[in-house]
This record gives sequence, structure tokens and C-alpha cells, in this order.
Amino acid sequence: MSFATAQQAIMEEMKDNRFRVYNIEFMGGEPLLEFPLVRQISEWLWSLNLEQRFTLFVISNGTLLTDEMKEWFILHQKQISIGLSLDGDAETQNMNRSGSSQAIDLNFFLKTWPHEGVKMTVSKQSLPRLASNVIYLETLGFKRIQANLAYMDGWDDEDLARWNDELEKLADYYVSSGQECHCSLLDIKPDCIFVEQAKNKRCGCGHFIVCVDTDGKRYPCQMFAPISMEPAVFEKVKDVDFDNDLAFFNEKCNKCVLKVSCPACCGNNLMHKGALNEIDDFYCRAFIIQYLRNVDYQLKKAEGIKDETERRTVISDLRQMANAITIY
Amino acid sequence: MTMTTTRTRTRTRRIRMNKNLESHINHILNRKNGLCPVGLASPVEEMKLSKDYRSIAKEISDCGGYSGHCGCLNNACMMCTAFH
Repeated sequence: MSFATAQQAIMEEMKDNRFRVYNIEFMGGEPLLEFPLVRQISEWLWSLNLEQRFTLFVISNGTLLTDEMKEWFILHQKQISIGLSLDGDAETQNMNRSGSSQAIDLNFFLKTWPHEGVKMTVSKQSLPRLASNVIYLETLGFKRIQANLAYMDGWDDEDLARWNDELEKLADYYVSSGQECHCSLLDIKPDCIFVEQAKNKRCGCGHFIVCVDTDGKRYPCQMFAPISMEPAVFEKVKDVDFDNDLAFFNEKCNKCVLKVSCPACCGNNLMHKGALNEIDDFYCRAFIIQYLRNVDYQLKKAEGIKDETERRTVISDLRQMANAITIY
Repeated sequence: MTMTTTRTRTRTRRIRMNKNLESHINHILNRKNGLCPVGLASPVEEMKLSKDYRSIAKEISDCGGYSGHCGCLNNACMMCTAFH
């Protein structure tokens, strides 16, 4: 991407007066391959006296950081942060990401952005080590572990059973050890089932998000950009109004009380099921299992509440939720 | 020369699961295909809950506070800012 393309895109988007805060993310590929451009764009933005508030973020595999880059990021650590893609221990990282674990300076990330956390992708290959990988990241000291199943082909019923087992192991680890849970896999709010009206579209794609490709073309999010999706596939939906929530309506999902928390990705839906609103049933079942494990985890955690009245109240509410749930 | 090795093992106690939830999980695992919408077998009005979860839910859901579990890039979706 040229600097001029980036400038034009940012200025254009900032004219949208629906928003007061902008989160500008540099992504790839690997954005640090273009560190000079990242620096140029960042320093240009900081030099402007903009009315709009903005944050800068880089999503990176962390393998290309030189001393010069580190120095710059440390100098500007409150203005720009790096979110590290880290799938677990060295063995897992090497398996998922081409033997790259040795190139990552974990201490740099932990020290420079102690509250930033990591993005953990769970592949079919790394699923059997899910619990141990999350535990590993906890012991390293990451305060946020954003984890999710990879959007990929090949998931099967055995993986679902494994997913269930690993979530059980993870929940039992947190309860037994008393470790505070920083992992997104076990932070679903059980009371999400009481939300009466949830949007059909699960995220902000096409409204809260715009992805600008290197040539300046816009996409509803990175899942629809050529880096993720064949252009011919995106062609099918390029004229869809992403602000029209009805375009994402699914009859079965509409009656599901987990709808508000469901992570179904419409870009993934389009790639694997041919439609924005068609959810792959593996991800559906995986999320329900995850939700049920969350309720169970909260119940077990509640047993440790010291105040007796509070303990009884929380357990009573959670048990009622557990008993009220039914699967159609 | 003395060589010492230390081996650290994290012991995790296996704790029994709530029977109702376990039964649902087994149901999901045994269902081979199709979406599995989740419902409530008893109306909220008949539940003896300590809080008005519906009202709380309404306030949170408007800002996307129940979201944040998608596979999106960290921080990508401002709909989840309340959560992130």
C-alpha cells in the first residue's frame, strides 16, 4: 500500500460522522514487513490536530521485530500497540506457524504492553493441546488470551468431542488452581440467554469495520478481502447492504437464546456455506458446548464464594439457568 | 558432576459436571448434523432469579457487551469495544 492510499482511506473514513473514535489496525500478511510505512502513517496521524480520537494497533506474528523497531514501539507504547498472534507453547506455535517460535521475543510483548494479550488460534492440529496451551499462556503472564477455533475445513465429530474434553480440562484447572481466568473461551456470560432481541449480524462488519486493501478497495472486513476470500466469492455479496440486519437472518438462529453471544462469522459462512446467514453446524455445536462449559465453570467457581448468602444466590441463579436450557 | 532435573507438572482435579449440562453436551455430541438452536424450557417469569436479568441484558446487549467471542482480529470490531 502506498502512503497516499493510506492517507486517503483514513481521511475518507474519518469523514463518517457516525463515529467519534477510530481504531486503525495494521494487518497482513505480516504488517511489520512494511514497518517504515506503519511508522510513517502513525507519525503523520500524531502530527495532525484531529478532532476524532483514534487508537493504533498492529496484529503481528512478532517474528520480525528488530531492535530499531522495538525502540520505536517502546517510545510510542501508549499510542500504538501490537497484538501478538500466539497459539501456545513453542511446539504448537511451530506447528501452526512454520517453526517461528524462536523468533518471538515474548518478554518484549509482556513488558511493553502488559495488558494487551494475545490472539490464540486453535487449529485441528493444536486442539488436543488446547488446555495446556492456554495454561502455558497464563503462566507466562498474559492478561488477555483471545482464543477461537480456526476458520478452516476439516473439522469433524472427533474434534467436537476433543473440544469438549479440552474445555473441561481448562475449566477444572482454573477451579482447582484458583488462577484468575484470562481466557475468552470461559468468559461467556451465562445470562446472555435472557437477551430478548439480538441482532442477526454477529459483529460490526460493514458498519463498524471497513477493511482497506493495498489498492484502496474497501471490504466489509478482512474476511471478505482477497487475503482471505476469493474475489469471485465476494462478488456474490458485494452489493449487499451490510447495514440491513435482515440480510443476515436465519430462521433457526432466530429462535436460539445464544444468538447474542454466538460468534458465527458471516465471512466464514459465505466461504464455507455459500451464504452470509448459513452457519456451519460444526461451529454451531462447538459454541453451544462452549456455552454449556461456561455455565458449568461458573457453577464450580461459585462454590468458592466466601460469603454464604452470595454463594447460595449465585448458585441458585446458575442452576436455574442450567435447568432452563433446552436444545431444539 | 551432578546433574539434576526438575519436572513440573500441573495437577488438575477433575470435578464432576452439572448433570443437566452434561446431558445437553452429550446430546450435542451425538447429533451428527444440523444447527442446534438453544431455547428455554421454562419462561423467565416463572424462574426465581435474584436479579432482573432481562433488564440488565437489554442494557448490555445494546453496546455489544455479550459479544467478543468471534474469531475476529483482536480489537477489530468496535461493536465489541464494551467487551474488549
